[in-house]
Amino acid sequence: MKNITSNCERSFIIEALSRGKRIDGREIYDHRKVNFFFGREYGHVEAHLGDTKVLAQISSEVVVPSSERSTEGFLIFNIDISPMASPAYETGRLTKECIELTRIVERCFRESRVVETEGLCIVAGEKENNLLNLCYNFKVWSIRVDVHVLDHCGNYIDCACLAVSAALRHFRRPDIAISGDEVVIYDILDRPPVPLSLHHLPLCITCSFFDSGNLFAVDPSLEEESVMRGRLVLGVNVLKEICAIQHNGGVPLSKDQINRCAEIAFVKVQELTSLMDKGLAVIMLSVPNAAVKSTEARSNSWVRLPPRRVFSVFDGRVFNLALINSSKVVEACQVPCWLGTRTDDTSLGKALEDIRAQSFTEKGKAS
Amino acid sequence: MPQKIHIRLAAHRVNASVAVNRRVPKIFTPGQVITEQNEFMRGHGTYEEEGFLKSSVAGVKEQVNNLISIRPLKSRYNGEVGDVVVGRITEVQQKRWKVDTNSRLDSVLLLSSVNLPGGELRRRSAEDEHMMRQYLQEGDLISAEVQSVFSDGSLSLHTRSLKYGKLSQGVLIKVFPSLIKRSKTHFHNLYVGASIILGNNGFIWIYPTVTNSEDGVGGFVQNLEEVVSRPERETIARLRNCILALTQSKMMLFDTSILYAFEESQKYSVPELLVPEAMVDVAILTQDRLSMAENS
Amino acid sequence: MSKNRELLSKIGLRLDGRRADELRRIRCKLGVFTEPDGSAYLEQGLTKILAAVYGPHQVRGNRSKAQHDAAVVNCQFSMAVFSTGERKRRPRGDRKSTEISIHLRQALTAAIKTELYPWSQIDVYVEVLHADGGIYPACVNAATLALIDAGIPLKEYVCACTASLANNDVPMLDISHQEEIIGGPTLTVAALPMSGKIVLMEMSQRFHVDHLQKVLEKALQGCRDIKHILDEAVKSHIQDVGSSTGWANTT
Repeated sequence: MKNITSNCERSFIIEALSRGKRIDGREIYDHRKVNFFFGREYGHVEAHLGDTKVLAQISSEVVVPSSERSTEGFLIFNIDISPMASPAYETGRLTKECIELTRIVERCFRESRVVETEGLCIVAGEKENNLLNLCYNFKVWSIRVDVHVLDHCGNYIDCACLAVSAALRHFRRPDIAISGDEVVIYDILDRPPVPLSLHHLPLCITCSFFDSGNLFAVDPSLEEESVMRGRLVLGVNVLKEICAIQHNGGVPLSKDQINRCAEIAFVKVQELTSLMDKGLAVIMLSVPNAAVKSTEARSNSWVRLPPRRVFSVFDGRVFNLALINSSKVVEACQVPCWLGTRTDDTSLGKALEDIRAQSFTEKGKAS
Repeated sequence: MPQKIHIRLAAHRVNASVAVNRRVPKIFTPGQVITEQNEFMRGHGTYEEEGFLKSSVAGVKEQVNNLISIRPLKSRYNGEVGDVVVGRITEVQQKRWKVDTNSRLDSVLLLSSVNLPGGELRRRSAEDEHMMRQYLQEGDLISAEVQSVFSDGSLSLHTRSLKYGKLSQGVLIKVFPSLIKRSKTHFHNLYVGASIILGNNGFIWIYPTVTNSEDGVGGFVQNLEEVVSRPERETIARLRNCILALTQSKMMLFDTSILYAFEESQKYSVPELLVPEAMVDVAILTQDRLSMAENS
Repeated sequence: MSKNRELLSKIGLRLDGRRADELRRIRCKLGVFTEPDGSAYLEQGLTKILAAVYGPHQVRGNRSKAQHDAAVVNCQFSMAVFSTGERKRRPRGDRKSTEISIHLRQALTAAIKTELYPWSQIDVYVEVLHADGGIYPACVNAATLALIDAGIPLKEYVCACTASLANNDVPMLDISHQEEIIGGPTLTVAALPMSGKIVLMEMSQRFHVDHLQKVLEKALQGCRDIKHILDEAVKSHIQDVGSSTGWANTT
């Protein structure tokens, strides 16, 4: 079942675009509102791009590496566009859309080496020593990224990349210690988990082309997607590096058009990355590294979240924070961040202070 | 039964080309500019872009007054009214048969454009509709003539003549439609003892010559009981192999070329004719005779 | 170990002795099969591809696919199980082949004048006999030849080429398998070389945007070069066939 657009709607969209306007009131270079929702677990992020929703969930496990690459860990993507997102999609892994999205995400994050797979190695034995049981003793991390397109309202590619990027930055894997042949994997409650080392962070910017390729808009909505003739997906990072390009058919493009899109993509990726930075800063505020490193924090047993939920109303919006122990450290929290709206860090910090104070008074009362 | 098996290396493959050096017309390839002037009309195989008339296929130019078209040397069959075709029934529908004619869309044979048994002109009744599968069913071969071309390019056929109709005993060969030479008649009773229908669509039908043609039923009878004699069958087989030889060397097929090939092939036995060297030999000899006939 | 090896030596030669802007040898042949409407065989270096085209014909199977205003282009890419160093388990159906099928379709649809054939279908089957890098571009080039052989109207040739960046500075044309393994970004471009329009572009691994311009230009140059080679081959094939038929049916 395909989304059918009537002819007058079609001509209206194109007519509007030719005057530099879009039906939802955006400018042609504007993205829709970007929101991130961070889950309670590390590496659980739901990215919203307008009404398009994509969920990314990262999990890790210790596995035996492949025999050819015994010193490299795995970064596995598992991408699903279910019929839940839109009735246009069939179930199954090998649909056209699913393959397309999987390949672009893999190009962006795996082939451009966002995560150093060698860095995911835990124990790399020498091959000579165990010819028989090959790499039985070898251990590497396998980082698995599950991406689900929950609601498709246009441009799920950009949205999926936002979700994966944010999830990779949000994710923490359990800490490990190696003593001789033994590897101890600490529970995240015993030792603060460690983030992945990321080399760079690409994001995808989709440019859609209309008519015979002369009209152009960033981040097409569902209506625009049904009208557009072709699109160019650029995976770029803030270092002005191109990590992936995908242009599929539809309208042929000239070299100049591609260069222009690349220019636009770099501006957009800076905007989006700084938005994501802000969102993650708020989340990570709740897990201050310095406090974690202090012996006090370590000696205290970490409490599974949430020990108590404290709600704080700030700026007309509810922050839902889970708080913590006597060391005055906010252990973890869940903050719905409306990143599209202007929330500056200082006022957020202030809000957190309020919440902390509130929580300790509550604790004092209880004891 | 012992059999001769020929095994040869790919490197020793026979070059089947029998090209003769002649004046070569200008060859156009896709995207090539034919003319910069815009007073010409664009025909098949051309398109207009930025004021230029460009070619969209690889082939040679044909010009009729102001109409320029490029004819590819090989393509699916493009039907024209009056063409003789051989086709295979693929579907029986309401009041029509669908016929595969190697065209880009299946052709249509309407119930109203066939001669029904028992009378030349009569209304098609409901019984006739029910009987359609008795007349022609899926898989049957027919010979027919193109009656008209629909706007989407599919063909409408008719068999309103005694020479058209269902084909019974014989051999079908499929060749590229471009190899069939257009001529006045595509039905030939060859003196060697077999008849041939050179369908414009590249389907060739070889069958034993019928002597008694008084059964005026519009050709819906299929006499499968009659045994075709061995010499007749050998003739048909030889004709088939000769046509294959000519096809492999990309030579035009018409009555003279087929007859010449048949005569030149006499030094080989019928199975031997399938050996690549023999095929090229026959093709070359035929080519020589044809050019000799042309020059004299 | 592979990292020590250089893509481009100091005197500007690549591992197989080519210069940075040289293509691998291309050899091709049209009309290799008799059953399909058009067929072609193409060698690009050691990469060997067979392509066959059927159609345009009536839409078979799922009739609802038929379009009232254009032909349906159906592409199937498969790799012979013996085409790679390690024996492949499945010739087609895995994610990579499905992706190439999709991309092939996109590149070819941009060139075929599909609007001439409503309700029809054009099938393109591509088989890789020997994979030695640059599979996708070789497939596009072979499919173009097969389409021309089938007499299907095209806007112009659609050619594809890969380009890479050596030593972070020099753009390199037509990447072989060896060079793919060593690494470096690979930009694949399928283009209509005469008008310079890009119909498909994909890239893996990263490089700075400043290099994009010159790598892209190099890839487009490669497409133009390939077009000339293919054009020569088509013309000589047509001449050959035309002479055999005696240019019959022509004036």
